[in-house]
Parts: sequence; C-alpha cells; structure tokens
Amino acid sequence: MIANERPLLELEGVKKSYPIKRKSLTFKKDYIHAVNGITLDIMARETLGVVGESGCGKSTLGRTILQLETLNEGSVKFKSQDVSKVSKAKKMQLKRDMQMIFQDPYASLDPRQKVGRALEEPLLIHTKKTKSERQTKVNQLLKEVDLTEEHAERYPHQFSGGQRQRIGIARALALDPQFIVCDEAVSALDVSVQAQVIQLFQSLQENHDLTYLFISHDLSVIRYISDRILVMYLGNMAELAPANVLYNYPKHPYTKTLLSAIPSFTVNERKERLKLKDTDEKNGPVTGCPFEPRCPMAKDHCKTLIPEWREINPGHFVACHEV
Amino acid sequence: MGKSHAELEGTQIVEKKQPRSLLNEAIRQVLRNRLALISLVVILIQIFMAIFAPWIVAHDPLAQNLSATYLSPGSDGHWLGTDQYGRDVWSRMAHGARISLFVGISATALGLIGGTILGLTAGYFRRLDGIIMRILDLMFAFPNILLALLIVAILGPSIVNTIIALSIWAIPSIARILRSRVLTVKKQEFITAQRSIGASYPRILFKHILPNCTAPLIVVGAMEIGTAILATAALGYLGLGAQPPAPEWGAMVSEGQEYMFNAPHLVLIPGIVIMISVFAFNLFGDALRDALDPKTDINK
Repeated sequence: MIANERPLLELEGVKKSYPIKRKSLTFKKDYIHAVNGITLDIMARETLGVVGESGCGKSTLGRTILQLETLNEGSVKFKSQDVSKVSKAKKMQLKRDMQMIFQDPYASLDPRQKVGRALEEPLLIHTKKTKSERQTKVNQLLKEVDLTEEHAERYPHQFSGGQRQRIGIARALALDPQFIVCDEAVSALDVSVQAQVIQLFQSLQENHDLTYLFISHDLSVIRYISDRILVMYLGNMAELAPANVLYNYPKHPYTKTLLSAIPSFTVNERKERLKLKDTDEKNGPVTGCPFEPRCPMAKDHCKTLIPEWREINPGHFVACHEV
Repeated sequence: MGKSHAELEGTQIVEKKQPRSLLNEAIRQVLRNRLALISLVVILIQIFMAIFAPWIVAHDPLAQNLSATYLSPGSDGHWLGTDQYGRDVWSRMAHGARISLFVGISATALGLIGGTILGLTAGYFRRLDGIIMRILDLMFAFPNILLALLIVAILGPSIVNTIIALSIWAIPSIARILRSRVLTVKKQEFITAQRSIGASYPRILFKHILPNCTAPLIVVGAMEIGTAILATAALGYLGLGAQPPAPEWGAMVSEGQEYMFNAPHLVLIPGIVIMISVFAFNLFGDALRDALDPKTDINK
C-alpha cells in the first residue's frame, strides 16, 4: 500500500437504520441502527475483511456501499465521487465498477434463466456488444471461473453449490468491475469447495486488480483472505487492523472473545475461552459504549462515554476505553 | 491449481439430466397422474366437440321439427333425444360446447391479463399496493354472481357482455394470487443481484419476476376456466347470458326444467355435462398445481 495513494473507496460516517415498530399513539418511530457510523478507507487492490456476529450490520454495510440500500447519514465516495449524488449516467458506470457476490448461490441466480443468459444480461444492460461479442465474453467468463462453454446451456439447478457460486462470480466479473463486495460469499459452501473458491478469488484479484470487501462470520476464512480486518459490533466499528496484527494482538474485548471462540485442534494449545455476559439488551445503551452490556471488562464510565476511535499503533484502530 | 475446479468437484453433477422446461416437466407430471389424465381427456373431447361441432352432428341445432318433440335419448337418428321444439339435443350440446369454451377461455384470458397487470403492479410497487388491493377487496366483497349480474344488467345480456362480466369476476382472485407470488419472488436474492448489475425495473419485472410467477398463473387459469363455464351456465340459466335460441348449456337447463317430469333428459344432459366439464377443469387445475409447485420443482 502506498501511503499517499488516494483510497478507492471512502466511507464517512455511514449510517443506516430501519424503523422497527411504530407506537400507535405517539407516532414515534423506533429505529434499529444496522450500520451506525462507519468511517473507513479502502485502498485499491486490497481485501478488507469485515467480521462480526450475525445481525451486526456487515451485510447492510456492503449493500449500502453498492446503493442497494439508501444510507441515512454520511457519504460513500468511490474514486472521490459521492455515489449518492451522481448523475444517472455516472450511476450506471458505478454499477459497472462495483459488483456484489452473494451468500446463497442457490438464491442469487434466477431459476428460470439459463446460465449463459444470466451472464449475458449485464452485458446487455451496460454495453452495446453484438450477439457474437457477448457470446465470446460469456465463454471467456466461464473459462475464467473454471467452467466450460457447455455449462452456458444449463439451468442453475443443474449445478453444485460451488459451481453455482462460480457462476455468481462470473456474473460479477462480466462488467470488469474494480470493487466487489463478497457478502458471505463462501459461507454456504462445503469446506473443501470453500478453499477452491477462495483461491479463485485470490487469482482473480491478481489478474483483474480487484478490490474486495469480504464479509464473513468465519474467522479462519477472513484471516486467510484479508489484508486488513474490520470487526463490527451492532453496527459500530470495534477494531480495525492488518490481519496478522488483529489475530496476534487483538485489543478490543469483543475481538478477543471472537478469536477465543475459534476451535483449536491441538490438545496442548488449549486456549482459555472468553465468555461474554448474557444480556437481552443487545441494542446497547444510547449513551455509552455499545458493547458495554456484554463486555467482561466494562467499567462505570463505559456506561456513559462513547469510546473514541483511536489509532493505538499505526494502522491499528480500536474503540474501547480499556485499551 | 493443477486440475480445473470443474474436474475436481463437479464431474458427478455435470452429467445430470437434460434441462427440462417448465412445460415439459408439467406435461410429464400430469401424464403420471391418472385422475389428471382423465380430466385432460375430458377437456380434449370437449375442445374437439367445440371445434368440429358442425361436422360431427347430423342436425342443425336450431332446426325445429314439431313432429318429433320430446324424443327420449336413444331414439332413431337422435341418440340424445329432442327437446320441446324437436331440436336435436346432441347437436345443441355440441354447439353449446363452443359457447361454453369460448366464453370460458376468453373470459379467463382477459381476466389473466387484467389480473396480471394489477397483481404485478400491486406486488412490486408498494405505493400502489394499498390502493389496488382495497379496490380488489371491494370487488371480493360482492358475491361473484351478483357482480356478474350487475355488469350484465348494465351492459345488457349477450355473450360478449358475459365474457366482460366473467373476466372482471376473475380479476380479483388472479391478481391476489399473483401479488403474493410477486412478493415472495421479489425478496429473493437473485432480484437483488439483478439490481446490483443495474437492471431496470421493467427488465426485472418482466424478465425475472413474471417468468417465476407463471406456475401459479397457469394453475389459476385452468381453474378459472371451469369457474367461468359454470358461471356462463348460471347466467344462461337466469336468462342473462346467451340468448335463445342459442344452444347454451345453462339456458338449456332453464328451458328444459318446465318439462322436467315428462322429459328429464332435457335437464339432466346439459346439467351433467356442465358438472363433468367444470369438474374436469378443476381436477386438471389441481393436477397442474401439484406438477408446477415451485417447492417441488424449481430447486430440485
């Protein structure tokens, strides 16, 4: 990473909340803050991993960046242009530059559409290629994800999970994007297939200069693929660090607990499993640290003060009073 | 990576069954179900009767012969007998199939078009959902036959107006079924995937959502034809459908009931045929529902 290079993607205080229920008398809406203020730079050609338990807003973050959800506050800048404030033509260009790969390869392909057709569709929407040019591109895409030309004539249900996920990858690659959000892209796959797909991600990154936002709850996968890792808790940033730093020197109590939950396979190396406090109050207090209700290290001031996002070492950020 | 991924992982799946279209799959399933097969045969006989009516009967359905009235079924030259004017019942039944099927199919087709437009709109555009569904609820609140009577009463009794009335009758249920299907399909990830590659609304709506809604539409269409045939007969019976002397099944029952005790076949034959025909369409619709059930077919 070159220090003075401009980041590919700049997130500035991104917030996304959903109304949950309206109290009928007061007409006051309650909101759940799925993403609650994310400020982050993503450099070109890096893989930023995002981890967190389910419901912590990591998928929403990915979708918000791709404009599949409209953000409530803050801004997302891709190559210095605010994605929510661009002209329609530019918006289409952004759709080409930023793509998404989905978790469930069964659900993310239209069951009534042949694979070749599914891969052709982005080309139909965005380019003026002729039929034979599209055909060539489709075949090239299939080849790139280790499928063959005959596969184009099949329906999604005739493929295995791993193959289907490769089709999803091929579709995302069709428009030569620069940035791809991989939303739990390997979580639905068998472990053996996971490894192959992850390797595919890596070789594609090299060949196409791709930048990934890799969302997963799987700590080993994230560690393997990411350059830097962001740990999220209830829509907030808990810790951000280069992958090996985060795994070897976790600072935030939440990160520590997560890492201690990775099963270990050697008897001697038994780690002490850290436990979180159980609480129903998962939404966290409005005033203090969002993690405070479950934090084993919580002190009194955690209830009242929101922890600052501090850089404790170069490139290692954490939001906790006790670090 | 020495071997390609496809070799490593996919060989066992690659040689799976040939792609089968929705239609193929449905036909295969229906042929396996005996009841469905019987109903299909009945429907085909009816269609055959309707198309070839002028060639398979010996008598003009309107030709009166006052010297041969009230003949019982099995009489010489009139195997289903004759009515009070000496008209050949078989000939009238065959020509009646034309009216019933024509009205049933065209009313259903119109209803499907209207219901599809409303259902897609209501399901996809949430803003319009409330308005459209409340209007449909209003139509649901009317007893169907009353609604049809009302429309025919306003427009005047005729076959064309019967078709209009029955298609309006069919719209609410079709629109509702389609809407609920659209709501399910629209939440699926492949729709989000289409949005993320920048697909326009019409493209998503017509190329991705609608094709995934065809199964319930076909099923409800088949059922709706049966309902429409029954309703045509009901309107005919009440004198608001096809006008005499047109050989309409419902009207035949209505005309025949005066002579029910002397010549019961005048009521029984059209009555039973109406029943069989409606029953066949409903059975067939049921079988199609099983054959096309998205839970059993799409992801298999």
